[in-house]
Amino acid sequence: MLPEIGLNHYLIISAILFSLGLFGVMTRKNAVVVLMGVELILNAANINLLAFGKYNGSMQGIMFSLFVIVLAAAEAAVALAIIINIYNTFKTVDLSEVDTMKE
Amino acid sequence: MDTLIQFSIIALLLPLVSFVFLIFTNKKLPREGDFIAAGAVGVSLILSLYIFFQVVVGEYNPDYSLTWNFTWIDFGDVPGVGPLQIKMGILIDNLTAIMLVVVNLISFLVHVFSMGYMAGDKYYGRFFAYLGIFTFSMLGIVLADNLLAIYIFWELVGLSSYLLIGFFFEKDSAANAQKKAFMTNRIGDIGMWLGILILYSQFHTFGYEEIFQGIQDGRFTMSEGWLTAAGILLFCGCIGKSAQFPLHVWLPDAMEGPTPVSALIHAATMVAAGVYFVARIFVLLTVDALHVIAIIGAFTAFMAATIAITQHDIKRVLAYSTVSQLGYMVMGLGVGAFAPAFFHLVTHAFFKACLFLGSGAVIHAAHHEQDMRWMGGLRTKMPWTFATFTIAMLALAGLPLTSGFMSKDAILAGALGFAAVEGGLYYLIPALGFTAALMTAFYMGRQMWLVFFGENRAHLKPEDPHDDHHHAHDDHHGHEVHEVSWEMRLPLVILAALSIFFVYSINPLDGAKGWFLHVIKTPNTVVQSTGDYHNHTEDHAKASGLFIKEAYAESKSDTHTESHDAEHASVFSDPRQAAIDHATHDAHYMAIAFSSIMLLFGFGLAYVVYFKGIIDPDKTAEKIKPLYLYSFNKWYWDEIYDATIIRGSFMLSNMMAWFDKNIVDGMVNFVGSSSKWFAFKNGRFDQLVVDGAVNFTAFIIQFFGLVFRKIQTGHVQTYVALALVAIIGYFVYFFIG
Amino acid sequence: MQDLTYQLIFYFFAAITVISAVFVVFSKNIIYSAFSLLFTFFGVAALYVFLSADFVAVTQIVVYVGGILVLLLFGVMFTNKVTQVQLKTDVFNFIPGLLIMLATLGVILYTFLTKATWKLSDQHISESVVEEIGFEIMSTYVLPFEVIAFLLFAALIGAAYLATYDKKPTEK
Repeated sequence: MLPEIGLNHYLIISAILFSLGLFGVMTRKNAVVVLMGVELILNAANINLLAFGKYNGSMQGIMFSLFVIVLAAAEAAVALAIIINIYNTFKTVDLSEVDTMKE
Repeated sequence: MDTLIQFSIIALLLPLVSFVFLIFTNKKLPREGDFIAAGAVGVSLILSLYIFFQVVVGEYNPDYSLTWNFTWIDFGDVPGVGPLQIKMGILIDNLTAIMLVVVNLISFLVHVFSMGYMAGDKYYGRFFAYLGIFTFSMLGIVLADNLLAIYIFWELVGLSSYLLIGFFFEKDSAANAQKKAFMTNRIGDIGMWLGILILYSQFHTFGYEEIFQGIQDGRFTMSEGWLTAAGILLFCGCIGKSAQFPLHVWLPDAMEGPTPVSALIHAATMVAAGVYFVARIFVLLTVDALHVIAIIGAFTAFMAATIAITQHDIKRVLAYSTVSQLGYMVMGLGVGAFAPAFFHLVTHAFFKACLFLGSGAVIHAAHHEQDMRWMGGLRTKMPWTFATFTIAMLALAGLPLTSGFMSKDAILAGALGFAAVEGGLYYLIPALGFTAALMTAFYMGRQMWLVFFGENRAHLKPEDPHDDHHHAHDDHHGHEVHEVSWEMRLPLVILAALSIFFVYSINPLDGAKGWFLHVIKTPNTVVQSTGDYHNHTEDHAKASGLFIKEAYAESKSDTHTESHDAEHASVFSDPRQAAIDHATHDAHYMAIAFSSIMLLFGFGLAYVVYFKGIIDPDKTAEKIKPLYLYSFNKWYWDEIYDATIIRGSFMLSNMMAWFDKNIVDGMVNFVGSSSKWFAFKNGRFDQLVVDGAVNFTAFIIQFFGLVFRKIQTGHVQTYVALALVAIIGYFVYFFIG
Repeated sequence: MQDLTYQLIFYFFAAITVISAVFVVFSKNIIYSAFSLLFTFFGVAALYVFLSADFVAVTQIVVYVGGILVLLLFGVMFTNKVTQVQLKTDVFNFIPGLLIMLATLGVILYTFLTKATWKLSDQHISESVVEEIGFEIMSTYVLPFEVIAFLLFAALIGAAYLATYDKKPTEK
């Protein structure tokens, strides 16, 4: 018999997603992939919110996750616009070459 | 705020505005802005006249006074001292109102005169700017209601005087005179400041009224001697500014300045500021201080008159005459003739300004020739100047029907009265005064005849290859002497008119009947009689004062004793002052008689010597050569100062330098070499141990810097990773560790 | 309560989610990453259904798959020369990143599973909540709803402005 599906299962999945998202943000050179990592992190957070909401018996988690989705949409739009601007400025989206903060 | 106060503040600030405006913009304005300066002073003059009519004519009350002040700096509650505030304010009384008019009127006339005299000068606009700041400072002295304010303005007039004496600063002599005046004044000002500090230490205030009240209430806790010292120290300021005996040497040299400046600053107003200041603080002067003042004043009057006899430069004669007349005023204050002294200040301001402006006109007309030996015969060529100069000259000499007669005789009468009360050697003071009066008549007559009568002697002047006059005219012999333009004549006429008796009193023989001596009265002293001084005066009071007072009180119905005299007798609570006043009254006609004799004798001598030529001045000078040289070289004061004070300070400096070089330096060098030895030993330790440690630290830091520099890649992602490392570390520490 | 089918289906979707997410971040090809992300989003949506949040699951598919993913693909197309073999993307700081990732995972899991004490209720949400979401949005959360609507609006305008090409000639 497999153990009953509970809160911890969701938490483990969200933790894995979160870590993978972080890894993407930290290591990928392409800005678009970094943005994908961010989306993974947001999804992980959403899973947590909904899981806690379900096992707490309240609507707050669900409502909050809806707002997170909307925010993710807005964030993605703005972030992509920024990436396009970076591309226009540096002629690349390779983040390892975008290091003007060094100076 | 009272209207008068507001007006006085406006009148005070207008010249300052003109100065600030002109000093920056004079080159850009038409006529270099002289009309702005004259206009500002003119408005100021109108306001002063309004104040004058309100206060002197309207109130006609000797005790009138109006004050206004505000807290300038508030130090709060100072530990050990108590609440500490410095106030600034304005005091308007009869003294102030009269001085306001005098200062503004002469300043205005000098502005007008300068338009003609200074025309074409390189720094024409700057000259008017300087006149503005001078007028501002002088009005500040007049209006100030406390010692600090008067000290500030005191220094400001010193500054403007410095600027104006050295106006022709390309000339070395002007630059030197400028420095001399400034430094000589500093000596007096230091004394004045010390005097102010003595009073401040007692009362924690600079205000006149509070200080006087404090002294009257006996809150001056130090001994009588300190109060005398404070008075004499304050008088030091007057010695410097009014060119009294030890510090008189700067004033004749100050004649290097433009002549209108000499008229305004070094004859009429600034030098009179010293006398004004002593009049302000008159009530706190002790009898000893007054004696010192009287002696210095009398000596100055005599000494300067003797010097004036032999000078050749037309302005220098007038300068020594100014010193002499200032000596009269100071002597008048010293002998307790307060009102006559101030009266003389005012009359002298007018006629001496007239004389200086007249001499300026002569110099201007004679193409900057200042030596009287090469003048002469200007009477017909410059009738206006001649007439006004004559009136002013007669006023200075003290001829009846002039203003100078009334004021000078009042002072001399006061001196006689003083001598009658004090007795003994103090008779020297009126004696010196009368001698000075004789010499005044003589040297003024001499100047008169040399300049205006006889033949023009310009052609007699030997050619001077070193002619360093500022306005050097190569061929001034060829030019014809001519009368000056109207803007230079007008001030002369006004000032001459103000030198005639009816401006001040209807009775030409007795100034005391006039309005002037009605509104100016000797204030009651606030110094309480103690110790010797008390007994000392008690005797005199008994001897003359109280006795006479009672006698007068009994014979009140006597025709001789008008209500005026009874007033005088009752005004003074101080028996000494009352005694002097009565003796003065008695001496009045004697003074008139004496001084008239002196006057006639002096004029007669001058007439005989310089007009008729019965006595040849040069031969006489040969006969009494030592005396002549003594006078001609100004009693050798410059040389004496040079030999004593200046040499002395050089010697002292040299001694100090020697001491410094051999003893102090030796000690320093010993300390230095031992330090060096120690430092050398120390250096070894330093190099090996301390430096090692320092270098090691630096090496460590450099190492970590190299490591951490790698982290600052500029990549956002690296920063994120590092932040995560930190967060993980925190979690590990918090939950696991 | 839970039959084996339910559990198996859960594990299936969980595996899809995790594996595709791993593929997203480890793939060298951006297009592959993007398509893997599609599977991740689907898997997450399925998990939402397991969590009794069917409305959120539908929203997830509509917004993420229909909106964000398309947006990301556009971004890829805009910023990479598709015709060349440039679509491969490099990885830097691979080993430290991997270590940090694993450490983060370990810390989070350790904290969640051993240290945390969750405040749980017996009343689990077990059926559809669509109707309740409607009530909540129009009552308790009406202000955040309006604010988020405004924010979205502003973000879209801002994004459109930022991405405008003819703003300025960046080169020359």
